[in-house]
Amino acid sequence: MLRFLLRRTLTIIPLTLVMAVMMFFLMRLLPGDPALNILGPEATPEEIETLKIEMCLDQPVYYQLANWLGGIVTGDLGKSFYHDMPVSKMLFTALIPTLKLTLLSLLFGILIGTGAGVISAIKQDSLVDRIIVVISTSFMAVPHMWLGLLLVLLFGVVLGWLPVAGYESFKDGGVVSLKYLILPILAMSTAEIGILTKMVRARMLDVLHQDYVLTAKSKGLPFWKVILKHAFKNTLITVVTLSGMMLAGLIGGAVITENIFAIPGMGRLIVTSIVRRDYLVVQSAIMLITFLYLFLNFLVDIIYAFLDPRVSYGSLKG
Amino acid sequence: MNHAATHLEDMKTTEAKTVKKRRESGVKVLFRNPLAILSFLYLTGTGLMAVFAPWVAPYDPNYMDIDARFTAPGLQHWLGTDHLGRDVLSRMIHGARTTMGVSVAVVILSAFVGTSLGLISGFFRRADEIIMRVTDLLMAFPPLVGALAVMAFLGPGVENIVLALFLVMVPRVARITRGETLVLREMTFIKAAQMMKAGTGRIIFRHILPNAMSPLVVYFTLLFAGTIMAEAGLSFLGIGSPPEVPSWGIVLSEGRYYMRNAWWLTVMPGLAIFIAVLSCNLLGDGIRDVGDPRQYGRARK
Repeated sequence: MLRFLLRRTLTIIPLTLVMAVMMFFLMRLLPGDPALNILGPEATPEEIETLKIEMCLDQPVYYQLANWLGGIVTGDLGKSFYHDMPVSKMLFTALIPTLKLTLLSLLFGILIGTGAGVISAIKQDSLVDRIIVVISTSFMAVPHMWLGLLLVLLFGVVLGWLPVAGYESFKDGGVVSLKYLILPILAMSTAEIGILTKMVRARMLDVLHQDYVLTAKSKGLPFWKVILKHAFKNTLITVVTLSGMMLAGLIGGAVITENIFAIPGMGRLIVTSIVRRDYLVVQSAIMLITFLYLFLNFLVDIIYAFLDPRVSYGSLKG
Repeated sequence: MNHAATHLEDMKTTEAKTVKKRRESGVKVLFRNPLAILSFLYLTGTGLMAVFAPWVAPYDPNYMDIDARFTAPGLQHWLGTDHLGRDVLSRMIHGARTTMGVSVAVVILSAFVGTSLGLISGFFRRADEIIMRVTDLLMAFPPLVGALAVMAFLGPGVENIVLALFLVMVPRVARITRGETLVLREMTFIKAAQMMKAGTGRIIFRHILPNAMSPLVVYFTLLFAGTIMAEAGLSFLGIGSPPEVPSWGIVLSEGRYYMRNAWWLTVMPGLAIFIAVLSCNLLGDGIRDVGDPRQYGRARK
């Protein structure tokens, strides 16, 4: 087990490193002079020269690369060209809303998706099952941004129950601050709920037809015990596997959702920085969000290994 | 040896016959599924509309009729007009060109390159190491974020979206093809073909590829759906197709500021994306069912 953990951890490090180098060179490949891009065409040559020195652009490339890689380790990622603020500080403030949004959506999606999938499987071919299948199939096809806008239109504009956009940190607003997150979470988790419901239903139906479930039934165990102790437990593994996959969708969803609801998270930071050509921020934010994604997937793998005794830790290819 | 070879040859022909028979009934099974027919019709309809956009669209998509701003859907403008008085239906028909065109290009490119890489990877150990490390790297990014990174460096543009989404999709296709290849090459009929000294090329194209095709085709429909969503998402964020090229994401994005007074600007383009993605998924489900032997029993009754 320990070897498996170690091995899995070690694969993340070179991957992040190669990614960091790749991001660095992508930025160098950009057309035009970064200093000129920031200052605009009216800048004097002296101003450009000063900014270049400030950004270490006058140094040789290997020095800049070492600087950037060293910065990743020490957490000093340089200053934003646009905001005159340390990038690491910007990233940190943006990280919290995104994490909150993503993890709450994941949790909500897992709860609803698993529940609906299990109910659907137990009541196979009933009216409830058919309705759940139709809803989950349509959920899978709903574009995040469209659903977000429709929810704003319905609950924010027409009914006026929830704020149209904005964000409040938990420290400032307490539980009330969650009201800003309700619509974004609904918009983000819908597609994931659809996929999860479908997969859990299929897995549950598989399990319900297995011999050991039949044995448990014929032993005269109460229905709920058969479902919970025997069938559901085995379905959970599917849920864990899928949550890794769902994270990919949720992070993409967060980028779009944050932009609709004006939530000051990573997605919004990346998009606004792309528009402002604040490349250092774009580069660092994408690095961070990717690292986070790899790390969360790593956690999913570990949970998976704990849950499923069939996973052999040695032979797993990182 | 000779006897065994003829016997195998015999088996192959019978196998080929049954495969052919199955394939014919496969299309029939697919079109017995009403949802698959509807999905197919919607997608071909949209595709045709996209191809013949200049002839089908009632107005010029960029013509601004300032007097007719925010006209609600009606006889004059079936889907209404936007904040500049442009006809929404015409913009969406032309937008289908961008959205569908990008998706078709991305799926064809990544299907071709990804399948080739996957087959190579499944057959040649040394190439496998390299290809898998590169796919690892590309797949380390969450899909939309990877596309964002590429778009950030290339700037808005239709070709750039194709490249960005291609880079996102291709490693996934390669992975799936490789998986299928690895499973198939251990099968008896491949071993038999190898024993009969069939060349690697023949084995790959005659035996592995046709058998790997059905899960791949299902995956391509999902890929198509994913690309439609991703293109719309990128354009919605303002870093996809440039504003002068209408796309479903652009129409949706421009309309959102006027959502309060002009609901159709938000509802219509989203609905188009939703139905297109739904159709791809349903078509994929239909094709998967055709590959599922249980469906045959049901169909034969």
